[in-house]
Amino acid sequence: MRTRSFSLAVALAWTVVGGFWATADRTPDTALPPKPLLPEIKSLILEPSQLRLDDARDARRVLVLGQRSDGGVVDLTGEAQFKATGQSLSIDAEGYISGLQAGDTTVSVTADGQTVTLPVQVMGGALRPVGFVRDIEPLMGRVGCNQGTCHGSAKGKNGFKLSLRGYDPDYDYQALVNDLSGRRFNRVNVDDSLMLLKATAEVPHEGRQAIRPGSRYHALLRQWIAEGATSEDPSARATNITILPSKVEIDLPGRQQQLLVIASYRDGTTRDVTREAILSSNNDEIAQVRNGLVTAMRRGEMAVLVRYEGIYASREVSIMGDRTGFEFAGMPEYNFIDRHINAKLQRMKINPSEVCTDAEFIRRVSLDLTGQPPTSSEVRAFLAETGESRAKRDRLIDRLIGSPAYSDFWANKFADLLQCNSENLGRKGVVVFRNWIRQQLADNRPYDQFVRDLLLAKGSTFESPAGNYLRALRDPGKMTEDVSQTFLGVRFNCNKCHDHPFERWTQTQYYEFGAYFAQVAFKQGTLGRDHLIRAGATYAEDQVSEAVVYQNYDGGEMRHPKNDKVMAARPPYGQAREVAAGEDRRVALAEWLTSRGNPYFARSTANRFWSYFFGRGIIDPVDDIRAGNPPSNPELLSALTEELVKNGFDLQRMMRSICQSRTYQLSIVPNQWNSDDLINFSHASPRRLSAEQMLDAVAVATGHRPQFKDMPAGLRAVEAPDGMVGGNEFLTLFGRPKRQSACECERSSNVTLAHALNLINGPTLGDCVTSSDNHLARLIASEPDDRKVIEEVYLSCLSRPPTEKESTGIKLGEGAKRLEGAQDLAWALLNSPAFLFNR
Amino acid sequence: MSRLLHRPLIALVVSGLLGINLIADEAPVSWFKEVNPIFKRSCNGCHNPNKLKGEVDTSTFAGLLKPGKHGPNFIAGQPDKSLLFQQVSGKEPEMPKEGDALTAGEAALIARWIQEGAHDDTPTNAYSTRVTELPVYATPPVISAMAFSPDGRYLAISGYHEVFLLDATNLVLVSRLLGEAPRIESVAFSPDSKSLAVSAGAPARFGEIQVWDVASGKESQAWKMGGDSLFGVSWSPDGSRLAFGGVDKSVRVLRVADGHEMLKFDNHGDWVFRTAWVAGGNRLLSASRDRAIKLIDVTSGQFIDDINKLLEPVLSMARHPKEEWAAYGGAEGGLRIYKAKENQERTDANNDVNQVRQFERQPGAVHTVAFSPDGSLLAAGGASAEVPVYKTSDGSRVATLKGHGGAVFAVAFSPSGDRILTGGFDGLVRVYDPSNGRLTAIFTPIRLDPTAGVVGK
Repeated sequence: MRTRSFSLAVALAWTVVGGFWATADRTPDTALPPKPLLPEIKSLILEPSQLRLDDARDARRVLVLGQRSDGGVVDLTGEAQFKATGQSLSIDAEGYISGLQAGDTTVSVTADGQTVTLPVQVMGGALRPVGFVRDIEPLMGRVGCNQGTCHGSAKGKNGFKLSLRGYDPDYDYQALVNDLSGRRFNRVNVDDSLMLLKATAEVPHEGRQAIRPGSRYHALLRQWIAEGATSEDPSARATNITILPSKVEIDLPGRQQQLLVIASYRDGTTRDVTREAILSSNNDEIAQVRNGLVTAMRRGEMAVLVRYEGIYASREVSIMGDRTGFEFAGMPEYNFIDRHINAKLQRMKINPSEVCTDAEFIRRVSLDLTGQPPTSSEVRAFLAETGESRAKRDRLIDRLIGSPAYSDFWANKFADLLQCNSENLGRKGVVVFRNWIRQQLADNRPYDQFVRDLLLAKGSTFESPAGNYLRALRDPGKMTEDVSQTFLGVRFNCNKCHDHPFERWTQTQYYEFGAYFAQVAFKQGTLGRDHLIRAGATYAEDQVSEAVVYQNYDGGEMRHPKNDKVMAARPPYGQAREVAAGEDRRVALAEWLTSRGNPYFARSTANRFWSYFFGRGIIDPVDDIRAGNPPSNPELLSALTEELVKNGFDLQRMMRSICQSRTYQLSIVPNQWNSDDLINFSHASPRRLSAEQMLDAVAVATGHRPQFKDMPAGLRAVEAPDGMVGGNEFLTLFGRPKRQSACECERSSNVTLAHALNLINGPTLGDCVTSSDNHLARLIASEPDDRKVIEEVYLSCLSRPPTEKESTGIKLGEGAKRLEGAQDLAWALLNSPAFLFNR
Repeated sequence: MSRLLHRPLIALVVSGLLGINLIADEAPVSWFKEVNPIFKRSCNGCHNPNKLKGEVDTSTFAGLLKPGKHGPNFIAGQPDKSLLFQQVSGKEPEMPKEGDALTAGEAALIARWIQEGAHDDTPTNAYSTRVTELPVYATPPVISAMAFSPDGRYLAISGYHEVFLLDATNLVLVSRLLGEAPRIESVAFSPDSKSLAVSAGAPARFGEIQVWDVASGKESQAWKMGGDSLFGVSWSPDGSRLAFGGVDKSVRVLRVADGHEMLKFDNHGDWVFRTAWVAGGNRLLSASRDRAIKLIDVTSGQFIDDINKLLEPVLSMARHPKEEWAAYGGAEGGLRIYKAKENQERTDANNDVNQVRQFERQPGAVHTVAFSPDGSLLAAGGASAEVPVYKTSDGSRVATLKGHGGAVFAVAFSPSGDRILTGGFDGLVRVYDPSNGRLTAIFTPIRLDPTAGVVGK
């Protein structure tokens, strides 16, 4: 019986779910789309519009852009013809222009039948010696010597190790020149240098022929050895890179756009480093990048990430695709959020979905603000409320924000982030810590003050529960990594061992930041040292875990692993106050971290909270903010950030703005113009209920609440203080985190067959639906009208009344079968996507 | 190679007409000039004598003749039955495992070479690096090794393809010991000062041990072995044997008289850089990048123990002239002295029982260490341009030798102990007074000729 009615529901549920995920998981298509025909070109634009060549090794390209009649541009660089006037320039097959003799000259550039003139100034500068930092390191990066699978791996390769992707030029110089007493170079007979013989595969080289004999790189490396294989000060590294063109908007798939990367140096010079820079696509399905050439694959937005000598930049690319017939129909703007969303949608030619229904809204906003769906009576009352829908919704938002259920739900969320688990904190520790967190949310404590308390706490972790945060992290390394990830949204894990391979963070910065925590210490407290387990003690009464008092003491230092040097406390960016003698270093840290001017603190917070309401951050993942992970709507993120700072880090106010926006209230039903949009918030996206939401929603729907081991009866799942709480495999299965990581990804929200099977056969749902003390039993006993029973079940499970068809089409059965029928119905609804997802 | 592109080779492969020699009127394919370069680019990285993936060596014709794990590499005249061709051709060629497949032209060239009989046209001296004339130096060669003869008469300094033998008193060049190997790794005089042993090699090609008669400046013995340089040659106290390490992770002992290999010790996990004899020639120390200094019983060839705690790759080592001690310098700047004996008494609480002394941490890798003749001083050269000289007895620094134009790779005390010489990256030899660190002379072992340009074959 159960299986029959359930199988129908499950088929429906998992078809929809499967379809949803299949869209996101499409495998990349490597074949390039055909080149579309050139549109009419009005004129040619050169970028840059003129060139200056500093010396004979200075080779540069220009981009040739065709101005379309609709205002856009088409890249013609690949097909353009370059012709030098006079004898003072040479232009190679790739279009690189270099100077032969000093003076002013021109190049005529022809494309699509039109010709423009490029002024070129050749400076007669003396050829500078080949520099190890300026020339050789980028070359090794480009040919791949120092990549993670070759000599850049932690153990090197075949006895030769370089720093990963060349982050440490001093180390690389030692390795290349001094290692093994100068084995790898030979000044006396340059061509007998092992580094040349290996790179050209003249002697066996597992990395094969990385450098072609006679190539530009071969000549450069050879020249460097001939000039003495000398070192170069690391300050010769590039200081900045610029990507050209400044804006990339491609009209159609198949169209290409060449990018140029220009590096600038401390001495004021610049260089075209397109050939040495590493360019990659953050989404190969939308556009591919090869040798600086972007090929549009399909409509969408992506970013080209550019890495050059420890500098990271990205260029966002949008591909419009064929939008014939599109007319913008923006949504009404309820607040500033909608203004920024509308602007982006208009630019990308997307129309937003319709507004969601009141029933959809009350379920969505209740789940998002309180972690549980509304009860049937709450739904009834809300639907019956008269007046304008928007005002009604605003009133509901006000009721929910700050309610006890709100505090419980957000306390649970923060307890995840702050790693509240009994393995690290003991059983009493998690209770006091969770209660303290909940109090901050109930009081709507400004977020900056909340974070300062966490960073600065001292004394007994029982009496000052905020101290449990650093207690849970334990060591300065984990504090460095988790504080940066949780409060700044940046990941510092990589730069513990080497400079960050995808971001500007250096290994030195890791240890400088870590120095702020180096003197945080812990010792055994005097409270609750006895270890007693009283039979029958409930969780909250169980006070047996050890108390840990922690405090600072002098002596702890952070040392750089490379040279064992004691690191001074210093923030990874911006300026922090010097730590005074004898002062707790964390004071200066907390001031810097939570200051209004800290560009990452408020921004990452605004972005993180946005993601809690949309299932996706404006920057996503929310805790991996870096150049290669740009925001989908930077103006919106700035506005949210400003709002948060302006209002003194008032979290409730920010959540209110988000929930009151039309954007938040959009339907999940897409339209012709937004069905492929996954990043611009033009429609709501179904989000699977979290483990605790799901369990609590089952309790709301059935009126039966599962009991947790060692916990008071009637406790909701979001109220459980401990990430380690046992006795309920349902929560574990549905992805409740153990709270041992700062990563949002510790909580899983995926959908698997194990989930489906548990809902079909598992005891949790079954017990709730069939329990004799649940709503259904009472309802069947007291309500003779089947239609009213069905309506109540729909309202309880899905927060909406049944449709006419549902109401009349479902037959509960007679007599004793009637309860079974009602149970079957609840069962089926609880297995439908309408229940399992917040939509 | 570009000439080949015009040949109808692609058609040859595709049409499967491999049995017929369509292009008989063209010159036959050269193994050495045409096929070998393809293997260099695409195959030899894994199929060389040091790696021998699949027991196949494609780096020389001699290597190709030896069958691999799956049989003979080729059957002359039958490309379609030859692994060499099968593996690199077809729609999805088996080889190369990584990187781009061979072009159709390259595969066809290999096929045609086999078809034509797979003839060897390797020139006679193709794999020799021997030079016929003395090198002329426009710039000083890096100094990787330096040693005084025990009798104080001679000073040996590494060059390119050669060792410079100087009069130790007036530092005048006496003879140039020109050998085959281009890269000199270590030099050591025999206990009677009559012979000089040299460990050397051509990196990634071969290793060589040379023995020179000091008086005549003639090479009395030379043995080429292995696929890469040999390091850290040392004489047994009786002058009858030589020990040295290698890239192949082995420690070997040769009988000087005839080159007979008396011992090959394979217990190290990485390259072996130094050797030293202890216990009157009954035991041997070997220092390796695997972090260990191993104690070896020379008679049985048995491993006895690691004498040290394994802290960092060991790059350099020197035996104390009187005590059964060895000083070592490490890749992470460690400088320590250890007793050359078993390490069996180590416990969890003290697992470094043999350590005699630990010196201040050096600012970078330590490439060379040397004791003064009486053992009272220890000097260490490395990545830093300064060479500290320490008192062995208490680890205090007595002098700092300054002025180097780069890293230091070789340090040698004169037998009388009144001078200490350093050499390294910049190719200059500096002479210091070890008692106060005063620089007394700078010279190059050979006169430079700025017009010489590049030397070589």
